[in-house]
Amino acid sequence: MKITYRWLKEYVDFDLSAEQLADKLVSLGINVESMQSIGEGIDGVIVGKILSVEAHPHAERLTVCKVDTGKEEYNIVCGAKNMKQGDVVPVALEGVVLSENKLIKPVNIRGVKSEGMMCSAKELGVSDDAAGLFILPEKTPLGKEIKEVLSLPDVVFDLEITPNRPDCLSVIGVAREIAAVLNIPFKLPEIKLKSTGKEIEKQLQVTIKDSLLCPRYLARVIRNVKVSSSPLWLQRRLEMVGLRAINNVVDATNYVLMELGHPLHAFDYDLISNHHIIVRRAEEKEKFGALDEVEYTLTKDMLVITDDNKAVALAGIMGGSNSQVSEGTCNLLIESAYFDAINIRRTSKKLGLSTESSYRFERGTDFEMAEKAINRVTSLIKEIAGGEVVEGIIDQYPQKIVPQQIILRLEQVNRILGIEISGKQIQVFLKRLGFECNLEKNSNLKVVVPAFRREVSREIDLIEEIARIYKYDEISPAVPQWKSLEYSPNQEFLLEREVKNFFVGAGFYEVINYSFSSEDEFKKLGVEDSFYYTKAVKVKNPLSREYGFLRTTLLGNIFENISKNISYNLYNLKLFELGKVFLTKENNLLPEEKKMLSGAICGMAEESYWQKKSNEVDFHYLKGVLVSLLENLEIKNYKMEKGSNILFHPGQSAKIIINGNQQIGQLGKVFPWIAEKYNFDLPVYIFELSLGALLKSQNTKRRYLPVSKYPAVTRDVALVVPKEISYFQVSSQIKKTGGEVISQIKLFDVYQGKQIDEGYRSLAYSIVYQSKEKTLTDKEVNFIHNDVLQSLKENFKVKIRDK
Amino acid sequence: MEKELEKLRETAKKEIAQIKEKKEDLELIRVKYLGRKGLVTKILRIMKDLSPQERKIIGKLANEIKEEINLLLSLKQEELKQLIYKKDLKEDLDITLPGKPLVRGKLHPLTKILEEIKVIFERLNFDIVEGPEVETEYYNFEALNTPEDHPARDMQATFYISDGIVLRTQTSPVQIRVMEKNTPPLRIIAPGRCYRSDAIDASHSPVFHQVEGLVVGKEITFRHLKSIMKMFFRQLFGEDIEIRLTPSFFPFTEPSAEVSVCCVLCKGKGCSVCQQTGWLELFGAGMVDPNVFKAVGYDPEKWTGFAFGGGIERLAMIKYGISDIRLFYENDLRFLKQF
Repeated sequence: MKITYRWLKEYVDFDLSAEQLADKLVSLGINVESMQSIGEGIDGVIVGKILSVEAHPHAERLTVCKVDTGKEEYNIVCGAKNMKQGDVVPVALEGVVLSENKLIKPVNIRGVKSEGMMCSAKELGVSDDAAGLFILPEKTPLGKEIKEVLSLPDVVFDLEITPNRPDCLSVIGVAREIAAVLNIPFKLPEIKLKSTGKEIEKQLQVTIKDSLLCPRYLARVIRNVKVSSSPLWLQRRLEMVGLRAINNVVDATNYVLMELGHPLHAFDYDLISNHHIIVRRAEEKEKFGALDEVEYTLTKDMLVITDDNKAVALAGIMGGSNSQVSEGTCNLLIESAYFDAINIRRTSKKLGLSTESSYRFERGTDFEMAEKAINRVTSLIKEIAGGEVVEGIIDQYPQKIVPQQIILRLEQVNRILGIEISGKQIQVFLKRLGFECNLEKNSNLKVVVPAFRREVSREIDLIEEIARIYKYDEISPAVPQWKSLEYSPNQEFLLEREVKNFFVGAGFYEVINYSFSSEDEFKKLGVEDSFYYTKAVKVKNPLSREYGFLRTTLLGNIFENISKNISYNLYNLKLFELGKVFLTKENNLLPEEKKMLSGAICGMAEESYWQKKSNEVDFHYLKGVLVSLLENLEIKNYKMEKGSNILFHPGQSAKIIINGNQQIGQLGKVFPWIAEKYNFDLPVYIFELSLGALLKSQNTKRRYLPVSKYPAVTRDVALVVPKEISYFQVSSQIKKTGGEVISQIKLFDVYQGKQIDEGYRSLAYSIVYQSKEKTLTDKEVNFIHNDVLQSLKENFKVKIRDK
Repeated sequence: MEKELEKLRETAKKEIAQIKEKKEDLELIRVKYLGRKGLVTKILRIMKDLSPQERKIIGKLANEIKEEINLLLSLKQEELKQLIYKKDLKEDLDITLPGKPLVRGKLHPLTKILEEIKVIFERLNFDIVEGPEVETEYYNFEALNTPEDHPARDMQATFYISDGIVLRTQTSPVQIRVMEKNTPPLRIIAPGRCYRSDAIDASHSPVFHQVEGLVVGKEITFRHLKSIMKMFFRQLFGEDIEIRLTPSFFPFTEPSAEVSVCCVLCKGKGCSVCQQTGWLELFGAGMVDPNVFKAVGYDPEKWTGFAFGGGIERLAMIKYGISDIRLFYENDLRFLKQF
């Protein structure tokens, strides 16, 4: 909500600069989002009258004007189009410095002398209107400083009012707060209206059919008003707080809305059939044509204001076009009501229609202010639009609202705030905020809540009020003297830390992506028939198509990351993400949230370096990383099986399996079709691991195994193995035959080609023999080694290659 | 025989003197003369065939030669060592050539700052917990004293999955889940992802991270909240940082406060980051509202507590000087490499 420094000062006479005022507001809980100084640097700009407008002899687009400032006449060349002879405008003469340090001096424009400049509102810095000159009212005194005419300079504060403070959605609401904290008086605007007769009852009838939704309805009638534009000061004030000036009647209701915070509405009295106002619920599917020229279809939960024939307003939200005040309007019906907040909110939400009025009603208005506001607006309209106020006021108020009472136990204040504040001080603070206090015998305080603070309903709410006026800054911090609590370590977090650090150590960069996926992405990945799509959780109201689902794999986003980085010519990439995927769960309200560990690599394994060129990453590079991770977590009983799911190249991928048959992840080359869709022009290898599975299968206990004291003997051997026999089969056989005496098996070369028969490949092993009990003799080693070779020959038709 | 020995002495001397570089040659000479089958050894071995007198003379001489060769060898060895040192010391590198790049990645800046936050609160004896990101409206709003028709719901644009199921707009529902399962006293922080359907711009992201804190105990007061906030922000941003609490509104705390720190960039003078105010609003906080305690079955007459929370991206933006929240989610390597 916007408010100006000068406006505020009319009700509370504070001695603060704009900056100090902003600080004060923040310390009260009213956040200042921005401050804008208006009309600084317009010193010397004065009011002038255009005596004549003539075409410029040498320039089509310019005119030459004679301008009278009351004392002298000036010749001014002008580019604007909106003025005519007799208009009153702001004039900047020689020596004036306008915004952006523009110094005005006499100049010659295409052969014509120009002694100054006539200004637009934008040039004066008072609004963004740069369409033409700022035309002032005819009667503005010539020669007067424009800053006086416009009550400038001023500062506009944009305030953020929290939902619990509807009372601060007005100038007087903010003034009341300032007065309370500075402990100075504040005043309400003066209302000059003495009208107490009963005449109105002959001219207007009001019937409330639903007093739950409309507990109070006030109305007045003003006859013979002249609808025209508002006086300059009123227009300017509304513009400064962001409202558009319309006509003097509407502007007056808006002005009082901003001033007192109570929404008002003016109807054309003559358009209300039978001069009978009925407040009732709408009929199902009732149509209503509102002021915004939209026809709304209502439901029976909504409250409308009608006459005997038709709905004339959507209660508390917007008036109808069928009864609006226009230039021809002569007689006015002014409404000031108190509506149920929740009902207004629901209607406003349902129709998607929010107004200054609904915004206030749905947060809660002041049922007492309703009366002050109607009197204030009536008096203001009379002042600026003329007319006669019909004697008396209609005040339908079937059930008087009883002010709330709260019992405040004084010791509770200190219990919550930790300070020591006396009962006396508490009473002083609350009274300054408008609360009535009575100390009871048991030293409890009986507090009566003012009508403008309806949301204060509990003891704790009062404690907050006391803290605000005591000032949060004055409450000193106290280090808690609490006893230590004992926690067991969270294994999942420890694992996350460990895993992330592992990947960083392995050269991977951590990425963090949105948790969203989309129909398009599922298509791009080609997973429409898999669980990736069928188990995906849909967002009902996504920000856009792009974010229509929750992700079921981290890989979609990671593919985008790879493709984006490649587009920046970054080809050597190693990325990983640890994040959640979401999968619908049968018979469960909430989906399964599963933490996954995924990543991708491409390009060179290492950065090239002058001593050594690097190699490109491949399947086995990635496998090495993941195996190292598993071993780091002491997961020993894993194996890899060829093939994986649809995201992977079938021949260059593997499932990672533990405990014989439990798949915990997969790795491999991206399926070629996907790689093409993401424009990968180099091979990309990816993996996916379930963090939960790692958590379950990791072994956090480490036991030291003594190293053998006896020497190790190494035997190298090149085995020529039929191609269909895997490395895994050969190695397993070696281990099985050799038993415990084999301490290490290392593959150091794989070769096929010359010298190797078709259908075979050569696997070169170093086998290390070592006993924990004794030194092995040559003879013993040879014996075992031959045994090993023999078993390979027998089982796999392996040939031993001669050295 | 004496002559023969003298000859051996001379040739050995000569040969040793001739050795220039190779240490191995010393060993060859030692073996040639003094080894098991060495020339001097041979003579010593046949001494048993000599007369006692000759044996005495030859024995003495042979031993003398043996010692002399040993001495010369060790002198030579020392000499060679010196030579090698000298040569080694002359080896000269261009130390300005680039070193081998170590293959090492980086943690995402959000992880880095979250780690810092966790460490600070672990030091303050808080436990770390997590909760689901897809939540019921009950946990996300109602139990947090935000009933359906409350205008406070407008403060958080919400993504819906279905009726009553939302993407959590805040980490606060974790407070409720933790309180339901535990009895006080409690001290927790709950970091995690949150979602709001705000249009994406430099300071809004539909996905973002928050950290939530909750303390419940006997005699926990607003002053303790202030102290914990002060300790936290000082440990995060530096010992000299000023903090300020100002009144605010959150449905689940009362009294509520906005926690600001003195702008770390302009030191409170006013700059574009703090919108000329000199302060950066970083956390929301307050004393746990009695209605929240009631929702989880705690007796507000017995327990008091405070809660706090705020966006992690914003902390990281301030700490690392990042001006656009979208950078965190673009995962551009040129960005990630800087942390």
